Amino acid sequence: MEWLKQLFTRPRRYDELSESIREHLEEKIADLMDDGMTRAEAERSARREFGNVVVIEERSREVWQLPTLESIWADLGYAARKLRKSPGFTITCLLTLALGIGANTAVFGIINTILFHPLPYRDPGRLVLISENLPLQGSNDVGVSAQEYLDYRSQNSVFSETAAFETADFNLTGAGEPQRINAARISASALPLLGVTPELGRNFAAEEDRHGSDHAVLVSHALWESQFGSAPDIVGKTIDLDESPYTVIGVMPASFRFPLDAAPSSERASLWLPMAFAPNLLKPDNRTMEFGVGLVGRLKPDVSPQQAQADMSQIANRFMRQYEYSGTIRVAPHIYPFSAYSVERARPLLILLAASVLCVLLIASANIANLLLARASARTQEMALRLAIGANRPRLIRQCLVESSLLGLLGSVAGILVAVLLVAGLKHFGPISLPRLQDAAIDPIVLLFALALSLITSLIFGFAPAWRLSCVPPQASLRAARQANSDRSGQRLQNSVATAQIALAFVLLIAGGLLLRSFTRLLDSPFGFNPQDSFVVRTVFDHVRYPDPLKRDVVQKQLLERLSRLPGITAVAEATHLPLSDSRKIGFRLEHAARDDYYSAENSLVSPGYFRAMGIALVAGRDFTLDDRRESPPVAIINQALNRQYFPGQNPMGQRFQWGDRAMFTIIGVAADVHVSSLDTDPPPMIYNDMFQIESGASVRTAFILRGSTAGPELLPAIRQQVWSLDSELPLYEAATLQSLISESLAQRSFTLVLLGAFAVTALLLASVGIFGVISYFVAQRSSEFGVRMALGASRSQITNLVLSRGAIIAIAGCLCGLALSAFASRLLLTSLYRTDWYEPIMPCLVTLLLFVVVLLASWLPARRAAATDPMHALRSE
Amino acid sequence: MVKASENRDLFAGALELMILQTLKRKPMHGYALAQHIKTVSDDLLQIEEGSLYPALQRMLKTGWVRSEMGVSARNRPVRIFRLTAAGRKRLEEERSSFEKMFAGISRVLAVA
Repeated sequence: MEWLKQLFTRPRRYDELSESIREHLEEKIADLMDDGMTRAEAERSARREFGNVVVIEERSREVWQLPTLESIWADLGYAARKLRKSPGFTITCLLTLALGIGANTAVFGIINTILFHPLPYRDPGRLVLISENLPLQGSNDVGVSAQEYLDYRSQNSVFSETAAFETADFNLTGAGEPQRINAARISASALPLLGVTPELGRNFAAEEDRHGSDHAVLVSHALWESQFGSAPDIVGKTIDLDESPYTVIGVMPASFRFPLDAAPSSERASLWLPMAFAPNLLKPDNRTMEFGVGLVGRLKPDVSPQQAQADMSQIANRFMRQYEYSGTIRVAPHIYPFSAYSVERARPLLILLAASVLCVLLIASANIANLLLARASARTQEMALRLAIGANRPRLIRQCLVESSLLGLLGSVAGILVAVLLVAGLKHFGPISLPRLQDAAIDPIVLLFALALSLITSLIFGFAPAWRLSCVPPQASLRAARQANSDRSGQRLQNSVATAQIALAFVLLIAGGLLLRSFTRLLDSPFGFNPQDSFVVRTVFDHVRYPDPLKRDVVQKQLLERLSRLPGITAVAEATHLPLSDSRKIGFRLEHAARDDYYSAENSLVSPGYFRAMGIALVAGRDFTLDDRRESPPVAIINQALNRQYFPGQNPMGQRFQWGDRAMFTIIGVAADVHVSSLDTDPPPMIYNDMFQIESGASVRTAFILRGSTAGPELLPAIRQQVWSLDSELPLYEAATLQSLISESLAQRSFTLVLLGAFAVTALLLASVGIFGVISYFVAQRSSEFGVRMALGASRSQITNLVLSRGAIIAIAGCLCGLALSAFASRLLLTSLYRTDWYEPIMPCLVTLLLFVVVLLASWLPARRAAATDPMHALRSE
Repeated sequence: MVKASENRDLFAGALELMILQTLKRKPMHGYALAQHIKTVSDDLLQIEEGSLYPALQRMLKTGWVRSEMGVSARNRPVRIFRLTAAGRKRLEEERSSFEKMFAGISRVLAVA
């Protein structure tokens, strides 16, 4: 730190030095005048004896200076002047860098927010999520069941604390329009485990975790603000959830987002209730009836995740033996970091983006390296002269690196501006399903990244030219002739850099092409339902208002009747679960199968006419009718996937299966497949039941589907009027067209496609600029050679071909390298492809063709210039 | 006669040694320092007066001397250089090594 202090006191030191010297001279002059000299004589004599004041002052000052630093400063000044003097070069470099660094910084900013964002809990690295797979049923991450949770909790020796959670939603009534609110049930141990305390009020007490005494609720900071006007006396007040009174016991801090930390704000829980398991779930017979309980644990300090995994497996084996799990019910517990829970699905996408944006940066760096190399050749004279008059090699390399670092630094500033714009754009247009995207910001870590990136890249693209320049023999400055032939190695370097660019562009274009192909295949593949002219809106008939299912049926049928009379509406139906939005699995057992031979299938309870309203084809059998009543034999409609899987080569009609402890269901129809979780996963086996025949936990939530030319958001007021005229307490929410369900499902994919496409086009542009530069430079260097050739009889087209073939060689080499690279890089794409193989031959062929056209176009202008060489002019300058 | 445009020509540290020794007697300003060295050496050492200053700056930097305001013989305000404790210690070390070296050189000269 001493040097820093010296740096700041330096101006004062310099002043004192000048003063001392002035005083010295004044004293001396006075003495000499005392001896009888005139003032002028005395001054002259004093200065002679003192020596050169300027030189002495400078040498004295040097004592306080830092030689390396200040000569770098001088280099910087020189570099800045150089850049100012060639604005075309500088602007090209800066734009290229701004693109490369900006895109990388923006993607890093998003990755940093999404993947590396620390969870706002105490020591989040020790938190793990425990979930089970059902390998024999092919279901993954089903959570655990209530009783299994209790076993894991009491028998484990690896966690200092465990907690259960479950998502839920409620109708909040009594305050303005009825509202649907996302909530979570959490056990009393959850908040201490996470290390979070309510900002107001208290945590749940252990006895509130019991069914019957669980009417306590914690509200989110946001809900407290929006719904209760931040009233400080909210604690102790009562609110109505699904028509039952709950006591508010506290308000959570604004940073608390549990369990879906990364979910968009519309899906985050706003209420937390105690994890009170229904008594039904705790009956020994119902041990594996329902999974879906989330289990989070805090590892003891000395326990590794592997040990925890082993312990969980041991406990599971024990209770599976004890309770005689059999047939297809076998659970395999596994643990993973809690931080990965919310962002796991975004990871492949982000890695893909990072890889492609890095390719863009490499191409950009290659461009600048080539520009610098070209400039370096123009500066061989200067460097040779410097070497000849005594500069040493490290000094020259340093000066070149200072120049490229300055470029990099300026580029990073421009890049940060680009990144700010990009992040704002991504937030605006990015998919809502991308977790935490809205939190993305250019924070200091991201700025540091941009800076580090620019320095690293500037070293990469600066080193080759620097090395080449410093290898110039000093006598080169004495030769006046152009370095036409002695610059072979420089050209080789430029050519390989250009080849690398083409190779990288090739990879990005292939990736973009494959994604585009996947996307069009997805759009071309049958959705299974007709998304046109349809509109859905959800509501909830909660148990408190409608304790009697028969009474609910009446109201629902009345509503369907009223809605069907809206103008332009041709079909109306209801369903508890909609394709591409909801998923619910039930376990079923085929008639005549072993008692424990259970399989799972997607399920939805639908009203008669559902298939017509959704535009789903019934390929066999009949639809539900109003004659399928609660007292008539239970019936079901299955989809083609279930038919294929469980009734291969048989007629499914009339076959029977059992669901839970209900009676046997008879299959009366087969419906076309529809996608459930997303368009790019195969439609799973599915069972439809008649909502007016079957009662289940899912019965209360339902969506109205309206089809007709007028179906759309404009119809919502009319729908509201109809619904609320029957029951003004029914909440209406998540109104959407079926078309929007499809675009939402495709959002992440189209986002990837657009971004990767943009990167690929940028890469192509940068690479073509790069090729243009290399070929132009080649032509400029060879102009006298071309002149000689033409004087000796070469035709203009021969010269053109010579230049074009140079471009073609680069293109061929680049495409070959790119092909090899893309085989390697396509691993990153695997999760993003849909029924598309990376090696489909059409793709490389198209990309090669495209690159050839671009390279030949980029070489065409320089080739024309070469062909226009005037032989006389070239010969004269020789 | 040594023409000391570079104090190094004198020999390494000689100018510094003389400055330290002079300042040990009493603190003085640059001109007085130069005059003193000149008179005491009977003008044998014709030091270019200016070359005192880089040496003084070095010594300021290492902390052997420090500067402060004072008055000259003509009652003018001038910057006075004063020896510090570190400078005193340095002088002792330099003196003993200088004396050893001088003795060595004398012996070699005597033999030749």
